[in-house]
Amino acid sequence: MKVLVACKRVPDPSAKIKVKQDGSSIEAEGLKFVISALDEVAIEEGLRMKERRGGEVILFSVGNVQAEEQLRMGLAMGADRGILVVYEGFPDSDLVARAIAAIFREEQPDLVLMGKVSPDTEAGQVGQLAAEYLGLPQATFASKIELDADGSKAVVTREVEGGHERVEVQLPAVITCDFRLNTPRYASVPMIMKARAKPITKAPLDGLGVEAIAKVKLRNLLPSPQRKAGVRVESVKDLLRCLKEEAKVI
Amino acid sequence: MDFSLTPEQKMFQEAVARFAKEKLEPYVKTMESTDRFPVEVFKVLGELGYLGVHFPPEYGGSGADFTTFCIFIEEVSKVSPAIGVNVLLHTLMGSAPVFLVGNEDQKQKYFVPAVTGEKVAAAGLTEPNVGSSAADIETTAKKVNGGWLINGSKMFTSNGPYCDFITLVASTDRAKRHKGISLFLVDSRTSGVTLGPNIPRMGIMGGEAGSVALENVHVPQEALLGEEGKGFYYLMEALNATRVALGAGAVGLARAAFERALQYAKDRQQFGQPIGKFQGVSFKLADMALEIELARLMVYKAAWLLERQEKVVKEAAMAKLFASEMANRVAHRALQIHGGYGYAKEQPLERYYRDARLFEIFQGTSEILRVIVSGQLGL
Repeated sequence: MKVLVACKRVPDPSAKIKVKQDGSSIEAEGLKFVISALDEVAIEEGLRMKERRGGEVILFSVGNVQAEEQLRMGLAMGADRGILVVYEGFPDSDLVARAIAAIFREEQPDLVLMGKVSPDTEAGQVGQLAAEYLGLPQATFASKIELDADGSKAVVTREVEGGHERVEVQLPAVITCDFRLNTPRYASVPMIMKARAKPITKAPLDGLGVEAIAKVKLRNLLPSPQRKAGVRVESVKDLLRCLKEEAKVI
Repeated sequence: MDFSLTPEQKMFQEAVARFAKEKLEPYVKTMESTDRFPVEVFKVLGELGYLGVHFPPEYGGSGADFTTFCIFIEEVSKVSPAIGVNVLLHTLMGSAPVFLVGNEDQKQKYFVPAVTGEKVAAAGLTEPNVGSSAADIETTAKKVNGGWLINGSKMFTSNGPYCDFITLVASTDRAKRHKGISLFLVDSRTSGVTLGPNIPRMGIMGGEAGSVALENVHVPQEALLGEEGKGFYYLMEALNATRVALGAGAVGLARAAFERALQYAKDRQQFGQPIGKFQGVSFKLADMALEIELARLMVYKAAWLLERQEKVVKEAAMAKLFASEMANRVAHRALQIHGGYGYAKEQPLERYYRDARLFEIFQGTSEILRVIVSGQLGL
């Protein structure tokens, strides 16, 4: 089983994010970066598949050179090697999906796993776009993945509004992962020590034959507006009037 | 000269900080109220390779360096000094001597299970009448037919109440004082060994430490660890490493207190501005940051010397002495900055304040460490 798994570098969700003065990006200095939490779930799932069936777990990341840190962390969890597609600008979902398609064609994995969404831009489109570019089946929001004995099919339980849906996909396929799929492991000390020796290939976009043009351009970022203090009202009657005339919600 | 951590050390630091927050922090509240150690933690730590960080893979270790071990103790102690301390003593005082001077059988029987977390080690050094003056050990081991007969008692033995084996310090020839001291590996279930209950203490709640009574304990010849009469030297070597790592633990504790105080100074508004804007508070925080940095540098320097197997007696003593006293100053100021909220039990400031005291006392009091440092200066 050869599994290709996403390993995106994102700002630590618990950190306080500051937008640069000119709005071009966020202030990266002093900011802690981590693997996108749902990509971690995807890595864990890939590792479990490998532990059961043998094979290889390959991580990839599209982004700046610092994303190597996150790939190393993923390798310390137990993945075998990494591919870093270097792109210094703001890669939109489409560009990332095209990069995945190119990696897929080269590596020919049995499965592509990734988080259903990353906490930075929350676009949630990469998996679907990649499947479309590759003409592969897709199953999104997986909370359970069951592979059949010969590894030709997967039954994926999806978390949908009001319940679960079970879909069957032929492999290779693209599956995006949800939080309930598993609990990612901690990197053990020996694995951290081994991670350094594992290979990370740097692949520039043009080397992959991917046109480095993003369809979505980041114009500027704005900090969230400061919340204003509330007002005290004297009576219920006043409250109703405010809701109706000032807040205009009723 | 290089002051930066290696990429592995940085990665490890992140991994262990996260592990401590997610897996160890949930124990803290119960440990405070019950004063019990969650023994299952040893197995979890063992599985992740945390109990053998700086030992070679042939014996179940992770093959990292001693600085990495110090990073481990610092991050764990930031969350729970009680877990940090008891795990440190299990590793450096209980198990490390077996690795350093034990024979192959002893390593397989005691060291390897201690690294996986299957066996918990205690170090039996302190006695009711003997603390700093280790050459006066009253516990005796007499050569008898087929082994040794041990009699005596131990006090404040960390991990004692639930340990599987004790790396015991006993005198095989009291007339020879420190040259008559030897180490023994004693299974805690051996007939004549009584593990006393946890001794209630001021802080480090849950970091259990009890007494051990040894009454006509018969152990086989193979229980002798290393050479007869060399125990004191083995002990000094183990103590050097322990002191450096305890310095790291004190740094972890101080960082926890400092980070809370810094946040509070930014959030708490008095007289129309954050209290951190007042120099009475901001200067305290500047001093705290400074002292934490200094202590950490001393710890890393001593760890570096230890890795190079250079003489480290003075630096190990300095690291522990400065870091432990620093942790007390930092905990004191962090509590002060919090005012009434610091004194209240709902915040951990009072816990840091109580916990910090132990660091100035065990494995060499501040006074003994000054004796060591001044001795190294030729005084």
